[in-house]
Amino acid sequence: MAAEVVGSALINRAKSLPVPLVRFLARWPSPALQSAAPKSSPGLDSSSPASTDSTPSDLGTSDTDASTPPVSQILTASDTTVNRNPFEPWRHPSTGRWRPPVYSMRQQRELCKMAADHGVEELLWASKKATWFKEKKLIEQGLRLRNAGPGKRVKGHKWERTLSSRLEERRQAMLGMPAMIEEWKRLGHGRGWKKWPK
Amino acid sequence: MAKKAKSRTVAVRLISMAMTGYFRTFVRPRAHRPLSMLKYDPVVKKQVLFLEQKRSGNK
Repeated sequence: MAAEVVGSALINRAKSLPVPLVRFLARWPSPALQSAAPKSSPGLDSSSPASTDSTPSDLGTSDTDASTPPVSQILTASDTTVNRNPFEPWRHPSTGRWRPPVYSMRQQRELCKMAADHGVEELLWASKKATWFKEKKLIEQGLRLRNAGPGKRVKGHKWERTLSSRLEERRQAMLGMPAMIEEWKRLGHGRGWKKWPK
Repeated sequence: MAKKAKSRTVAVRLISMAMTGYFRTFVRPRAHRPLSMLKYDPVVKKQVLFLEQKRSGNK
């Protein structure tokens, strides 16, 4: 009973996802999705026999997406294509030739953005466009400023390097300014002044 | 060749004692004592003391 409630909640959540995202998840179920599939949706398991009946938890066969074939057909097509990350380049095991990612960087970005907006980014494959990857790179490489990072510093312009010391000198001069003016007035408005600047 | 006669006046630079680098230029008689006056410094936006800069060489 509780499983049904959880399953219906997942179904409703899946129905609220954008169609391109649902299509992607059905076509390329990530390991996270495959491990979660036997509990809630047996149709997503690639090892299970192909079932033609459309279960309510089938992510690939939404009412609005009639062009997408059933998930079971896709998953049983070829294990080599299903179990690889479609976001990364792939080397063919027999020919040794490299193939580009199934989804371009632009498409990866769009999918990751859609998934992040709907809170299901953890169901996607690892991608360079994922939020966690970008945060990791940001921590590793800083803000990617030239000469910036651990053990390095930005040289900057001379006025930037000397700004703090010049401001401090100006502040000290202004602190002593009333006393200096008093002294200047006392000495006859400069008549007896000895400390002329160079 | 005779040296050129020195002019009777000299142009002097009065620099702000607020150490802002701001200065003003005046012309005073060569024999006069060095100039000093209270003037407005736009960098610190206050009236501060301006003192004549020491002249170098045989100006």
